Amino acid sequence: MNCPNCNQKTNIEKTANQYFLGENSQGIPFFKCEECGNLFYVKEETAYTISRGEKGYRFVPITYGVLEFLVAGTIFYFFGSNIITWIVGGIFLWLGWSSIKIGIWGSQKLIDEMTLDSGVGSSKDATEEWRKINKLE
Amino acid sequence: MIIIFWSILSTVGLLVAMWYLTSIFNPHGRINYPMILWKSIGHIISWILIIIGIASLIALYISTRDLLLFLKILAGILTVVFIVKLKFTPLEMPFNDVMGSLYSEGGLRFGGFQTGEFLEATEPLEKKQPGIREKIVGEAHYLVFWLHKFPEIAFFLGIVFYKNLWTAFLLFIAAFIFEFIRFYLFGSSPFLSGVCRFWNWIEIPAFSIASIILWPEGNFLSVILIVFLIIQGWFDLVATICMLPVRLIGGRIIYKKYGGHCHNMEGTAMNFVINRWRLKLFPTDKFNIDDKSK
Repeated sequence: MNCPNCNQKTNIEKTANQYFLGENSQGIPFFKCEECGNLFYVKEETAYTISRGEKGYRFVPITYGVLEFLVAGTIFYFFGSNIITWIVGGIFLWLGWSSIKIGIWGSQKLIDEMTLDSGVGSSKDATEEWRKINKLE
Repeated sequence: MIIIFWSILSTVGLLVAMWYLTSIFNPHGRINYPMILWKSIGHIISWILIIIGIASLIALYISTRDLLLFLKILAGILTVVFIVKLKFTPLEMPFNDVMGSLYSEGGLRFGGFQTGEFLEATEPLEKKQPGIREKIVGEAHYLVFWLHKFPEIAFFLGIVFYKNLWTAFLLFIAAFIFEFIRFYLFGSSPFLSGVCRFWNWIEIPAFSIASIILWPEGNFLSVILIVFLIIQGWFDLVATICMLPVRLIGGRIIYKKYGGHCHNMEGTAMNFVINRWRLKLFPTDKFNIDDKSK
């Protein structure tokens, strides 16, 4: 089925599909578009776009970033200077800096997907933006 | 040997007392009495056993001649009594339909909530998770009573730690107002419902033991604890009467802010709990489907 927002083909299987959000109490299935991250539901074989109804907050990834910095600092402080400390602490430093960059420079769409769609896969658009921010492409 | 004998008699007496009180204070009156209480002889036997239990407790105290040993045995007896009580007070609680109104098995009427409305609102939830209605009723029941139990805990801690009646009473009022505000701001909380249920089990032993421990420091606070346990812990009089102005003022503010139904705390608690479970079982219910698909 095509997404009502970007019109690209997307998966609407209810099983083994990380973009299936679940059914509501009336039995209507909800999905997230793999390509653009738009949410939609399917009724009588027609897809309808739906708003998330709330806005993701930027302070969430920034808070995560600060916590990851704290974890990195704790590791460096308590486990001394050795190769494992530098690897593990370095990963936490990188994750912290990445979260803070997303919180400051990420688009609202990326923030929404990261903070509101827990347990659901990221769309291709969001993944691409995340890679750009982290200079991984 | 004599200590074991008195301990067994005390345990039996306290168990009968607990069972008797639960039976006679049920929401449906005499029609719901156990069969043995349908005739006067049942009440007489119960009262004889309760009096023997209390007398045995006194005899136990005299036999031990040691307050610490007595308290240890009393703690053991109360543990047995409250393990038995645990079976009678599960968090899952069946509901009762009384003339169309929704009641919990514990006797709480959920405001203007009708049984039909409740059954309709919980139908998809029951289909998804059978037995959820009992969980919802139990959680809402304890959530409503938490408004009275939390101030009780504050009063108890005020007496135990500050040893001052007025400080304890101020803590009681502050806790009541705090919980009232928390309820309308944050709604249901399975954790607080569980704590309320737990406090129900330990309330009587906690007050009794604190009263015995405080006795040597002057009997005023011990008597206050026991009187408070009876008039608030049992009859809910302090929270119902003394806090009435707070509830009326709070109710008026809630009525102005949220409208007609919300100032009725019992009904609102039921709404909060149903909504919480609905969002837990059907997370996508948070999305508002407008009529574009119709």
